[in-house]
Amino acid sequence: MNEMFYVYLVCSVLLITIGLYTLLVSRNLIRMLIGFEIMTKGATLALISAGAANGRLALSQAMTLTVIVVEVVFIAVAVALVMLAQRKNKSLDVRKLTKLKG
Amino acid sequence: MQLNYVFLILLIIPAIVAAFTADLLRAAIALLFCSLGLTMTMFNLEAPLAGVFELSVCAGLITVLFVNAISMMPPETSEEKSLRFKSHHSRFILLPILLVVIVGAAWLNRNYFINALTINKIVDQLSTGQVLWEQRGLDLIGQIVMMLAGVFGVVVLFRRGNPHE
Repeated sequence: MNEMFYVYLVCSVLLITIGLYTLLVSRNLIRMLIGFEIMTKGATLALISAGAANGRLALSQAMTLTVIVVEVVFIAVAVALVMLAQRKNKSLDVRKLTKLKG
Repeated sequence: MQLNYVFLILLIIPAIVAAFTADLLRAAIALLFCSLGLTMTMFNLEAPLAGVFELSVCAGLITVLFVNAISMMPPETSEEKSLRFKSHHSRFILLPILLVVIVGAAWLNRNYFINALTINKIVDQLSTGQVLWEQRGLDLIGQIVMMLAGVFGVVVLFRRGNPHE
């Protein structure tokens, strides 16, 4: 399991990197949310594989459920905000959200 | 090839497609397949409860939210398309550097991670239900507050405004 755990860890790092990259380079609000989702999947994979490696799978499953609940709440509110921003600015491009300036 | 690796490939490839495809709807569908890959990995790691939750909530609900949001958006204008393709190739420079740095750091510290997790390995006697309902305290309240905040947030954001304003 130790060797396999390391493979899972590398895959979760890979997923977090892909998500972070999407978050950094995207200008589209929905694509940024997709990047966040990919990052969360990496974190979830790390949690579950750590639980399986350590023998505390029940605890890691409980934590994963919490992560998923927080994730879905975040996405629901963020999608609502994105739709409102699109209605106000007629665009999903973050560079056009100039009305947020103080 | 072991089944573990097949599931991991099914997890990684859709994530890459979701990150790099130009079409938002395709990205949302790729994210759905990424969730399916993660679900199969969870089942493979003997975590069926988290797998079912991931399948129903992430692959189901979140995909519906994304597809719903994308369907309500107007099609891209020619100006937006030209802006997207202009900076398309230069964006890819950052990824390999970031990936090499992070995977290199993880590789150098692999013994630390493996030892930290396996040195005190115990076999958990508790079921997930017992951990969820008997061992958790304050974080459960935080989770309930988070869910209520999400519900109120969506209700407030989608409230019907005064058309004369």
